[in-house]
Amino acid sequence: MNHDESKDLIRLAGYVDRELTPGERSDVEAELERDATAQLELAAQRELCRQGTLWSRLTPPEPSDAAWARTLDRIHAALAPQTAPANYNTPKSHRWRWVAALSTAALVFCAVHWLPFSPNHGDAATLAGAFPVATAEDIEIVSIQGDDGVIVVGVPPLAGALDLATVGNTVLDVVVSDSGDGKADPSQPSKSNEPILVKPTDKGKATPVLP
Amino acid sequence: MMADVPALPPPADSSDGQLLARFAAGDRAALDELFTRYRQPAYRVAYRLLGQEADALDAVQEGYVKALVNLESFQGRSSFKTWLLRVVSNAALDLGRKRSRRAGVSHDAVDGDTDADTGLTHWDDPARGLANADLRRALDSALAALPEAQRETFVLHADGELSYKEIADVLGISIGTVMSRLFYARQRLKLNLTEHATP
Repeated sequence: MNHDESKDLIRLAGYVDRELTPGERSDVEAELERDATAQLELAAQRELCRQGTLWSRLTPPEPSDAAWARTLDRIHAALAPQTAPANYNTPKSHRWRWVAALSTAALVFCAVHWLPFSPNHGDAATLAGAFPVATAEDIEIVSIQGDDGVIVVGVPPLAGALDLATVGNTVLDVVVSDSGDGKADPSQPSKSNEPILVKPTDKGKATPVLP
Repeated sequence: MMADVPALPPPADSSDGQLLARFAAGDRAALDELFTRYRQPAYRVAYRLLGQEADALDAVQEGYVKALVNLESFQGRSSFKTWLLRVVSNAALDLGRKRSRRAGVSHDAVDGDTDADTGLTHWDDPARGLANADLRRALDSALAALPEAQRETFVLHADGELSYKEIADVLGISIGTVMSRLFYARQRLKLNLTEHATP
């Protein structure tokens, strides 16, 4: 069987397998009509392909249902990380990425707010002991003792919180007469020169405490 | 040969694409359906290349896993079945090389008994099974004697029921090469089987 002969036989096999293009089929059929030898070769190829069909029908031993089930289980097990997006088990590598990101964010936060080179560090230290001693609603005393009497420094109501002083430096003020209700009376000048004690309340405000 | 019998679509509601999408979304049932749909051709191809049921099932398992893990490579350029059989046949050939084709051919099915524990063999008709067993062994021996490329091509066509073009896609060869390999595989098989039948 030379090259051309085997090429023709291969083409005949493709014809039997119905795998040729329409043009190739037409060529083969035209040759079969004019060449008796080709018809014999076609018959031989049909027999060969038929045998192949018979061989393929010799099915391998069929695995049992249990064997199929085990195989499927092993596939599921091997694919478990890939098949879990719905009830997602985050892959370890992804979990580490989240941990790293959160740790970095925490470090940056600490650096900005607490480290000595933070631009707000000085103010924060200064204000550590400060607290708003009163709001506009609380302000009834708006004067301090000057050399020549009362100096008005504000007129109520004042907008927003007024940081009058810190605990450390709120030590001196005029002593106002007790009006009897426990509140300082701004209309009365100091008589005793006793300081008004200011202490923070549990609301972060300060109320004057009369001695 | 097998092209004479038109391939029927799998009797299922979902297309392969839909099943793959459901699988990607984590639906285990989609994998079950893909497995049921193509386990037979995958197993037949693997069995023909390995000659052992247990090895063939290993190749099927490995083929499914690799085919689904590497779906990016698949990209829908061919049918999932074609893609799967490609991976399964590669897995089977790799496995066969590693295990040096244990004992040459399969003899595990000759008696036709079902092992309740391992479930490796099962025939409904023992008489038919015995008759087929001899033929099967002869075919296995004849197949084993083929060059690997011819054996793979023949098995993909006869047992995988792939067309010439699908085989060409699977193996990365031309349709002409597929035709040539099939032709020579059949010739050799006929010769080998004749020699096997002649004492």
